[in-house]
Amino acid sequence: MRRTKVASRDSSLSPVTYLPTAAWPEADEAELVRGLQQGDSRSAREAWYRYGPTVRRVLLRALGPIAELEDLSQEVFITFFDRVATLRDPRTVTAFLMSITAFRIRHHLRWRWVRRWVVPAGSAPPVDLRTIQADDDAREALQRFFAALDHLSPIDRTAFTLRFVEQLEMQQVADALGWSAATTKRRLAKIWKRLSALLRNDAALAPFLAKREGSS
Amino acid sequence: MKPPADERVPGDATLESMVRLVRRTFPDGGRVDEAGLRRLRERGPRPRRGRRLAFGALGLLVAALPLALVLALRPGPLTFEVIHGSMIRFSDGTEIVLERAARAQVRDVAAHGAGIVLFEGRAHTSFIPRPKASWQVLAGPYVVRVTGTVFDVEWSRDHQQLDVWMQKGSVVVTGPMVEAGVAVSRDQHLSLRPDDRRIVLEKGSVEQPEAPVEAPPPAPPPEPVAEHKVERAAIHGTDPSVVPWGRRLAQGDFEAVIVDAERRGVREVLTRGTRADLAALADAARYTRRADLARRALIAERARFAGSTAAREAGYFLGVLSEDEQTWQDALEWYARYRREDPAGTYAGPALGRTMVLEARHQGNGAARADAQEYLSRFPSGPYAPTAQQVLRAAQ
Repeated sequence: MRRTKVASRDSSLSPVTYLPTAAWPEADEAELVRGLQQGDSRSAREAWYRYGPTVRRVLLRALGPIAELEDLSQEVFITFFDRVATLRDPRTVTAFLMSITAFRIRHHLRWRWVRRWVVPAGSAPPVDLRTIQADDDAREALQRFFAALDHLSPIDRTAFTLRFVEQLEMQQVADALGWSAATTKRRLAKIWKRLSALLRNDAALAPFLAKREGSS
Repeated sequence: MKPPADERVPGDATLESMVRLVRRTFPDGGRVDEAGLRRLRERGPRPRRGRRLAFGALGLLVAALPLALVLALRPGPLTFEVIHGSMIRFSDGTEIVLERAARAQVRDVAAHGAGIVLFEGRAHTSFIPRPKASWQVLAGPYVVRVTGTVFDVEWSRDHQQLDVWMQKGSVVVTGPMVEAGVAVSRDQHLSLRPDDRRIVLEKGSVEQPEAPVEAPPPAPPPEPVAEHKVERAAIHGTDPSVVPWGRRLAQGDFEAVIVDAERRGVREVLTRGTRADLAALADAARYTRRADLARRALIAERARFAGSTAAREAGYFLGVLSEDEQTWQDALEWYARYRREDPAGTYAGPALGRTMVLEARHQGNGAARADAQEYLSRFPSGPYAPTAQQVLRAAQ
């Protein structure tokens, strides 16, 4: 399906028109994918509202509340709409979308690494957690955690997020990253060990951890 | 989450805690909305792979040439030293002096600035103005963006209160209640009290760092420049165990405000809620990107409390919402309306600045010229002053 067809067929959008959030909530995945492959605008809208929050959540948990989150989410859907015609089994639509999201995360991390060298230091906006986490110690801990994640390679960071934060099954992570099951298992154990070592002796986490122990 | 036994290593409780914190902090990705879908449709299809590769190769070639030069000229990060445990001095001359019992931390040290996290207490700051300088003071949920200036800042963690006393230059403060940013200029004092939904910007020089032991003589009341005071939200009847929406906002618990409003009935809140209810609901909806709900709350605020400061300011925030949704003509209309209704209001500077930016972006620098001139004459050290200067140069 070409996305331009979707745009041209649905001319009902205007800034002042009220539209319901879900366009086709009763559609199952097979109907939805078939609709997308046939260029049905109702299916595109439904896919946006059905899968959009999940895509945003995975991006947010992998990258933190970065300014580019909305753009990345859009990039995922542009690719999704572009490639959905190649999807043979509609039951794999979620895994398909997850693999696109994983690719986008890795792409963004690689680009960020390049940008860090090209753009003068200090010009990148810091991760802004003020409206996300009001607790000082927790915010500090999050900053340290995302800084530790920066030490991982893009693909390792993506794998960590999908498996341990998103809690996907091992096979789902393997599918999303194009790894074998054995490689996934081995790499994840290694990633967990490395990240543990990075955080275990971080003194800046102490206030948050002390508070957590105090409350438990 | 705990990984399966075959992936675990000993002593990883810290990492497990961090994973739980991330899951708790980002329980969902927020709602997607119509504006996002509209943008998606406007962005068009992905270019063909061959063309992308060609562009990519060309881009790499172009980037490679100046890369070596950029890397060679890239300035190193600032350095700093801590003197007597209470003064932080940076290599560019910037100094932060902490008062007794204040706690702070330096982070994100870069070539042109750093972040100062003020955990508690008061700090006297003196930032050296330099091109591209980028400094921030982070106090609780607030961020003070510094543009080369001298000021005192005090954060009370227990009371979640922020005070900024400007001595020289200007800063922009963002956070709960001032999400769009409020500019504080020379000899002004900004006081933010989220519990009372109270924002006060008044004339006042820097107070003495330490309060006198004896009771001071009664001082004359400060001259208000702009005041936005909304009575404490009486939104939950008389049940004292329920946390007021203002406090929820200050804690960053925006979802709780939305959930509470939905439990009471959004229509009920919009038609019968107090002014504080509407302001809190509008803020919570804006922070959680529920543009439709935010708009309804702001419009209700304007309709039901017409003539009040809050109603006029709702107009400004409707402009911000429109801008977020890429309907820039609507944004221009709302900013113009706010400027007509409250020409000396708290957001007069940002409204004028945003108007200038939108005009320059969509109608060209010539169209933004008059507003750029007005901005520079009214807010010469405001946050949009560099942009205004750029607009004027480009419009020549």
